[in-house]
Amino acid sequence: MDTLMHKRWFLPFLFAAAFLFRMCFVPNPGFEADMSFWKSWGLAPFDFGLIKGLSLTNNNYPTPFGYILWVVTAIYSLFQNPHIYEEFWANTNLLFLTIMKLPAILADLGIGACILWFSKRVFAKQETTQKTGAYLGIILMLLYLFNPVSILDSAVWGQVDALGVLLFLGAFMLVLKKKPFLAGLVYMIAMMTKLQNMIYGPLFFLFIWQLTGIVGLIQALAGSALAFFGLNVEFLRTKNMKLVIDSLTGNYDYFPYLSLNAYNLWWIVAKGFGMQISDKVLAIGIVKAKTIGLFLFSSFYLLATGTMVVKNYHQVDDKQHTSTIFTFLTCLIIAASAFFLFQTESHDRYAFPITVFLLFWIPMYIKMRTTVKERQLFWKTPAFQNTIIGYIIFSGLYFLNMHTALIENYPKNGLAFLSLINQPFFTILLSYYLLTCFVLFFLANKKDLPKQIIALCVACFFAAILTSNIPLMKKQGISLTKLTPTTYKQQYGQLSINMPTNAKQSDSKTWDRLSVQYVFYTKGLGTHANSTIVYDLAKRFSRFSTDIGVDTEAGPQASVMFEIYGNDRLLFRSPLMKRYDYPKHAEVNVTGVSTLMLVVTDGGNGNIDDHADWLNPTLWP
Amino acid sequence: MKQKDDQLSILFPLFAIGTLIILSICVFASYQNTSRMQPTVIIPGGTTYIGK
Repeated sequence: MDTLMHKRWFLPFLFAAAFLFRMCFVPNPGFEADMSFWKSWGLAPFDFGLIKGLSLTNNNYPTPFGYILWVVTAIYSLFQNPHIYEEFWANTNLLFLTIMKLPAILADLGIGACILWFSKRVFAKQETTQKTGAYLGIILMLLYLFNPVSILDSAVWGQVDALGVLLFLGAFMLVLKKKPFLAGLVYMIAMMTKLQNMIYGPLFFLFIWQLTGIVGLIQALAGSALAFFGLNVEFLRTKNMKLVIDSLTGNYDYFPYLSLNAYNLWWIVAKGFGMQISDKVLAIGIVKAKTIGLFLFSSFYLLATGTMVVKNYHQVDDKQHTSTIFTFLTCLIIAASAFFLFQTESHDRYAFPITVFLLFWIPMYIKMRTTVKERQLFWKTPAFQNTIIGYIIFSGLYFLNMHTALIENYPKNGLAFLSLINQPFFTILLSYYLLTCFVLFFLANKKDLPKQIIALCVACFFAAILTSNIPLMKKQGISLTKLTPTTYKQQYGQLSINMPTNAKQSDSKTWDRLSVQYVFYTKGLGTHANSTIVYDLAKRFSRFSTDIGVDTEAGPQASVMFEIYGNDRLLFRSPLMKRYDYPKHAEVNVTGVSTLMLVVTDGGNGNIDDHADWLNPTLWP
Repeated sequence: MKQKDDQLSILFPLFAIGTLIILSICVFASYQNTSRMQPTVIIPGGTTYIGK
């Protein structure tokens, strides 16, 4: 092994082999929907420039990512015309598949190099352990380069998670090199390439502060600000910053389901049908699943942040900042895992960064848990063996998650025999296994996690749940406006909460108060016929009461009827109500009702002027 | 021992080159395989730009 390691061709051979191995999978059409979105989101800027191009597409990535897709399309156009419809949009367009997948594949090689560099750095200071760093680094690098997860994501699926992670690693390494300004700059580039990097922000800047002080933190923030405005200068110049902000915030509630093929807690709750159940269903009391997911993620994030603060305050670190770096990596993995496992609307690929972060954590863990003498035969230590076995098991399980998500949509683009797993029993089992992996990681680090912080996080979580459910516990009336519909649709305008439909509070000329024939209400739902609004009640309520009527802002042709359904059974139907009618009252028994449906019909004469209000809608436990 | 080391030092590069050649052949075969597949036009969902 020593002889091999010192051969000049050894490392290039490994990288070349990893590259060629991935190239074998590039012609696979992959996740065809994602590939078609890349084409669209790249062709529009290519034809019209980035700003106009973005407005023509449903691109929900951060705005600078459009530049990457623009370049991909531009390179494509050097060889073939992207406006030849059947050729460009074909799922077997080899040229596009190659150009699009190359950045992520090269990013994989970059990540491999980073893993090797980091491992060497961890053990560099002592001569007796320098070989440890090199050997361990090669092993970990190979574990990534030939990890089926990384090959699936970059070379088969056609996603760019590796690119986002590589940029984040670049920022991380710049912190280690004590270059905070560049670290902040590169972090922002990472975030604007793959928005998921946003979740590491607080931990990352806290890490910068701990390693480089307050001056370093300010420099990092300055670097981030420069990168943010630099990447969006065209939007700034043309006063289109709203597009930038929308791209960063628009993904909240973009896919309102319990889980998008992420085998996590919510996949179990959904009994294997995470993509068919809204995350607005009530989970604990009157708290919806989405909120529970946010509470859980926040609790773990509080644990991660609190751990970093407390450990840094109490410990005396060495010159290599070993403890600080180890704590940061541990907390990063906790935060990334909580994001994947406990939030609703989680995608199958959201755990991809964990497969990388673990390979940075492992050498630190081995260094923390072994003596200098033991490190010379590191492969015999339990620290090495347990972590490597754990990593391989986790990677295998996670690969099954991602692969099942791929073949559920595109059976021909994966391994046919693995389609047997695509059944609720196996996918739920995988969810339990992945949760168990997280628990085991937690236990492996339990002595590094302050008990008082754990207790605080547990207390905060339960306090949040209890506080949110006080009205239910007190058997008070609960306004329906506090719940979120699982689905709703209406033929005109938008459903408004505590306002008439389509009212805008920022525009004082628009009528923005709920009222029926000038009887004013503060709470209610403003809708427009024909509409259907569905709520999950989870059988927690006995009575539903509401006032109903045509909003004062409606025109003279308004005429509507209100209907209330419980579990698809009609509970109430109003008479025909018109513009000048006073509000009427409805009260229905909803004992045992799981689904409450509020329907407004147009009264049979079309839906012109049919602005309809549900006023003071209240549920009683 | 030196003779064995000499033999190994020749074998390793040969192994590496052989591996890369085999992988290159696999890449070529993969591309050929896809080029023979019946293409399907895949348009992105939702309101988006398709260049027509």
